[in-house]
Amino acid sequence: MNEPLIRVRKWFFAWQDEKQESWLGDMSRKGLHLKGFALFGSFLFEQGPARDYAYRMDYNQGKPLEDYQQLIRDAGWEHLGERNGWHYWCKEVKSGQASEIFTDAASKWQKYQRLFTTYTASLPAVVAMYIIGVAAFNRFPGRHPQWFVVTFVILFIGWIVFAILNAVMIQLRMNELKKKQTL
Amino acid sequence: MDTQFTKYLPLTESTTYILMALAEPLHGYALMQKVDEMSQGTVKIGPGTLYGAFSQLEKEGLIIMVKEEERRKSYALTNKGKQILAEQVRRLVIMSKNGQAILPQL
Repeated sequence: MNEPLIRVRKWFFAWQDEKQESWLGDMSRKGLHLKGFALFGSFLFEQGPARDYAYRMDYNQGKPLEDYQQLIRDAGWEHLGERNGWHYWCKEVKSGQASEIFTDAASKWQKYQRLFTTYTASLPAVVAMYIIGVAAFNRFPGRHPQWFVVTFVILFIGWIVFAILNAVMIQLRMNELKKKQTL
Repeated sequence: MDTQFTKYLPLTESTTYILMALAEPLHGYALMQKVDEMSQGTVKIGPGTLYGAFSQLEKEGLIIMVKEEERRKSYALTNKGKQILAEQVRRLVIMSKNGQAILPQL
């Protein structure tokens, strides 16, 4: 007999991974342990005894490297799942000391570099589609209903602004890490 | 010391320990434990960081993969890796002698 999973919807921006990690840790200390994900940014939790778990998020698009994940497992981490390229790992905190998957600024920087690439790589294609769309509206005026044009513009401008905002915020995080590396 | 090797120096504390631990071939998790022990807990290397370090050191030819078993890769030092480590340690000895001489004067 399985307890029903508790669904909690909470949204985080891509650059708020550390905020998300500590929120998941707080949930576990309240007895709500991450078990999976649902649509629209929802998390699925299992109710249980309060525990001190550390949660860490790694970012990797595509098929995970088996030897890479094996090494993280060997170090005592449990793979909880993946969403949008984010891999969620969890490990019990022993003697008050949370362990880390990334222990230096250089490897943290590389994680954000992978994330940064995701947001910037699709940008030229999205901008090109937007330009082609707008050109088509101008070339054939009156062929497209007003609501369609408005929705098109809002969606594309929204996505472009969102991707740029993400890229800029991630870049700021990377700059901070770069500074830490020099000393 | 070959001048072409000096571009790698100084190595970071983590990299130095990784190379030292590879005095015998080891896979990742065994190496993490050995470094923790050797450094008396002062140096901790996370699995994500170690994986990246292995890839980088292998690409630069300081280490070589010698075995792969159940998704666990074992690495060993190459000749180049040994030479670079030897030079790094020589520099560290000079540095620590200086440090020990200076500390009482502070």
